[in-house]
Amino acid sequence: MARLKAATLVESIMAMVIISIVFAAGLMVVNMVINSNRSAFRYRVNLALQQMASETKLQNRYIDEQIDSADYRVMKEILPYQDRKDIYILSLRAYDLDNEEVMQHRELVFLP
Amino acid sequence: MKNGWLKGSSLFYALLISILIALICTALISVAYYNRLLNEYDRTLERLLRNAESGMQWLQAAEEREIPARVFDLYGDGQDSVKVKKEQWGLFYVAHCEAFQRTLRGHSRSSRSGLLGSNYPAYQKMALYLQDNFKPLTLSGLTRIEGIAFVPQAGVKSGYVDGTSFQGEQLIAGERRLSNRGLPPTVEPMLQRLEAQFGRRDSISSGFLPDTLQQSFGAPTQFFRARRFDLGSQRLSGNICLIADSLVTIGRGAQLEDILIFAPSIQVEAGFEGSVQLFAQQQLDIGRGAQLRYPSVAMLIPSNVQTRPSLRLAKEASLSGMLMIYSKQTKNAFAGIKLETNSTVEGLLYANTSLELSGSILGTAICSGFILRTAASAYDNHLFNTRIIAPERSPHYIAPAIMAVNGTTKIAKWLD
Repeated sequence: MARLKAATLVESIMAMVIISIVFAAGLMVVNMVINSNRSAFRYRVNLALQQMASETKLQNRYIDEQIDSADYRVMKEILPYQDRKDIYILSLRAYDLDNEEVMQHRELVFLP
Repeated sequence: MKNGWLKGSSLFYALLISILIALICTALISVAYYNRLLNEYDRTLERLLRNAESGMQWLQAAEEREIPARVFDLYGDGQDSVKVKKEQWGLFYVAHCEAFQRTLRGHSRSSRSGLLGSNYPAYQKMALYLQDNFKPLTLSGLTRIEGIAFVPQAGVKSGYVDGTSFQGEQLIAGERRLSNRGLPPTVEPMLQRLEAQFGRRDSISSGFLPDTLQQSFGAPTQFFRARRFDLGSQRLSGNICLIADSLVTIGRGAQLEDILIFAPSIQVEAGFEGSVQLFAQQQLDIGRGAQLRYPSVAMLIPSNVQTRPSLRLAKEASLSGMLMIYSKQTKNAFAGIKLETNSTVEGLLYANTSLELSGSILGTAICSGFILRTAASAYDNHLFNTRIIAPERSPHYIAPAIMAVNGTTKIAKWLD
């Protein structure tokens, strides 16, 4: 049998290296995008704020209070609005464990 | 095999796979990017909707009767702008608020509209307000009055009509208070504006009325004027006002929602169902079995004291909202409003003339007097086989804004 000249081993090693580099880079980028977004956390906090606002209006619970959760806390405040006595600002601010504001929800409520 | 070399092609395949992985990674990054963008857009829309709602709260609290369209900063920090507008819509006000914000995709907007009524809870428990004309109120037959009743100083007594005496357990099931020589006040400028609409000639869109028209309350009002309108199968809803010089007939096939109609005479045919505000000067006739849903209005504004205008709610017809007659000639002795047997008004009935009542009022009746006609005679301030029951009105009922003399209003119906 005649001896064949080939470079398949070198080619294969190079191929593996290229694939590994591309795959690792891709994985890193995707991971970075997903982690930096914090969208799931913000989405959850947003829902919680909406629910708290609804409950406040439903239960007529117009008082300042702090609501703690496992990974965030919410400060609820009833603020005056332009010297009016029948309309207020319902303000809800969510903070993460590092005390950074994650989200804010505010709306006017008419309380005749 | 060429020149003794065997072609392996591993590098080629590796590059191919690399490109494939790169494409997948790009797709994933794009998905993440657009997901984030969509989340931001979603939060912007949520915020705009909340601002529009806040604007509506602001409008409810506003003491001004009408507010021309104006833009203002909601919280005074330059981040949340809203455009608000409040104007009369029949016996109600219509409030419109639009929140807007500049985004990467241009301007995003969200708007809300609503009919504002009177935020005056005193009417919720009041069944009757009978003006004090120094005559007692006489009840007979199966008459029942339930709720707070403001009656003349001469009092309430039982009597005989066609040989039938009062058959209830007590004359008035509820607290009794004394009425005054006048009726509870209404918002006078609203009445003047309504009277002026009959003669309106400016800003008329057309005399031709399309079969189907839906007009948003955020857009200008569509005024149509013609000698008469026959609404057989038209579908009209929203910010539309019809003004006729003679007659408007509303057939049972017409679909009307929230519109205003002004005409000397209006006839609602039997079986009609809808929500509409009707204003007539001479005759307003609501046919048998017709159902005018909340917030509907049937109002008679007599223009000429020589004519004998009338408002009739035929048998088994019902109206939820307000039935009203406002005559400048208050000493007129004719029976302005006639509610026939088994007809029902849920809400408020206001008449500064006499009222001929055979149907039921689930809510409040405010009037100058009652008149009862039988085959044999006519009786003054008599009620026979009539029900005026305040607690049977919906607890969520909001009276029309024409009763909002104290200024504060509340949403009666969300629009658009």
